[in-house]
Amino acid sequence: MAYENISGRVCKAILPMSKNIATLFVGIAFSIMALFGMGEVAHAMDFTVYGTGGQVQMINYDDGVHCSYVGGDRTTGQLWGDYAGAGGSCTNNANGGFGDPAITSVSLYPALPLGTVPMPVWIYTCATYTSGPTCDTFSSDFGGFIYNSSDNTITPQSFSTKTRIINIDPQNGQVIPSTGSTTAVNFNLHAYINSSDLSTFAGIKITFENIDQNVLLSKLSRFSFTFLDREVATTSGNFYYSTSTSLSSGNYRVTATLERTTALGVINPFAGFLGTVDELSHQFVVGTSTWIGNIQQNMFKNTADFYGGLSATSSAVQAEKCNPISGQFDARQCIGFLLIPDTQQLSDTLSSFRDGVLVHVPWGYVTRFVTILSSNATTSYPTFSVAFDTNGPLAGQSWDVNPAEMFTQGAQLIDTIHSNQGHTVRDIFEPWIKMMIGIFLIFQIVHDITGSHRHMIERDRNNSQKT
Amino acid sequence: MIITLLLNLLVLILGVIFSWLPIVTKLPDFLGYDIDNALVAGMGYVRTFFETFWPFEIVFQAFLILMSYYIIKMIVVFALGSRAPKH
Repeated sequence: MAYENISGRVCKAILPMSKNIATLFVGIAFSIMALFGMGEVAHAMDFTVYGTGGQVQMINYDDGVHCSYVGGDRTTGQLWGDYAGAGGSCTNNANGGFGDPAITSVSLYPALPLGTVPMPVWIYTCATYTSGPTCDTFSSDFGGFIYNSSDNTITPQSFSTKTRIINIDPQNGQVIPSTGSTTAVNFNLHAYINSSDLSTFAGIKITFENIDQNVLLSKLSRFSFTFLDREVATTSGNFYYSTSTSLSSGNYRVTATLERTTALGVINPFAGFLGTVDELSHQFVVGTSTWIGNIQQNMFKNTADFYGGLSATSSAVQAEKCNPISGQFDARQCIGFLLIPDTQQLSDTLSSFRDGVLVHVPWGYVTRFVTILSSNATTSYPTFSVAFDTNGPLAGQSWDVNPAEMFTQGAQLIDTIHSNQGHTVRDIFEPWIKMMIGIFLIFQIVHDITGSHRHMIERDRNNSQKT
Repeated sequence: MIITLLLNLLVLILGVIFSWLPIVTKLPDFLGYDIDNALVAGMGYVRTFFETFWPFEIVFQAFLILMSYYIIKMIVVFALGSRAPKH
């Protein structure tokens, strides 16, 4: 007891001292930062920013040697404008980017690549600025400054040089309007590779998949596509990748993964599980979503919410939640990690079940039948041509029938009907039809499981039917 | 993770048990008629039709879900035999 009292008193005496010492160190650190870094900050403050609401009309950075004249779109993650190295000139870019009401955030790159300047230059505008990075999801990743257009204040932000995925488009929850049978969708990745990680790993993978089909039996018609398959970055700093592809209407998920693909020059066979450094998944809808897809997206979102973010759902990250000495131990998340199957893992298991078990005789015939039924492949209608009798008045002539044309023009009649508010027949009736069919489906399955409403024969004590 | 592991083990065991059974790649011919090809082409026509008349697609999706349910039920009954729950 005496030792405990002594140690308690020592702790009580040291704690206030340690606070003072910590404050002193922080002060020294800030002083050093001010000496070496704030020159850049002061320099970066020389911007001309004219903002109203959530817009920025112009940003210009020109130190006479380097210049950047860049706007950015937070929604698409695209960066616009000119960048010029030493001796370049600052001219406005034909792509615009300034004064566009759609822009909610603009960014200004430093004249030098990120990582080679003490403080990268980023400016964000926030119509409803509250505090810190809450007004903009990018701010904590990029550092720079947050510009609050309501009171014209600029708040410096710290810059993280950690190897990570910063953003991927399409954004989470984004609905891309359909432009026809297929819609061009832009995929943009922005990652940051720290120079110390460059030689050991940083394989970057981007996959997207269609998730609006029945998981168990329609996996073949679901498709996934890999844009980058463990592409190893060769330079540190920002890594960008952009591509575009045409997609039909439905629910999709895009996942970007940074994997530790090599260690000491050897391919890591467990890269998929143990080597995941960072992962970011976004779910989006092209045109019209399906309710199966919505359910799957909600399931994925619920799991992600449980773990505290879409970027923290990888197995490697979650395993750390069960490690008592990792500093990230969390009993709730650990239990969740151990007991709640990850949607991707569950999907893989079901896929294995389908490929390994359901393909065999005799149920393989049923699987094949359902696979054909759930396929997305379409076939053009054949055209018919009927030749008239050679002896008749229409001899030599024929009657051509094109079913595709007939159906298309017939369906157009429905689409031309609009309500006073401009809604089409589909807009109005589709939710109702889906709801009614959904309710019917649920009742049918519940009825089959519970056996409700079946005729039960009443029997007496001797097990004879009552009359 | 634990449930995933158990499910993977179950799938693995089932896969090993039924691995001796032949794999179905296409539906069998009937009286010399290629049913598989006919069904694929037929469904292609139906899909084209669904693209034009959207309400039918919703009905068809519901039908597929119902079929999935019955197939799962069939597998459960096959796997559990007399132990399968009955009404």
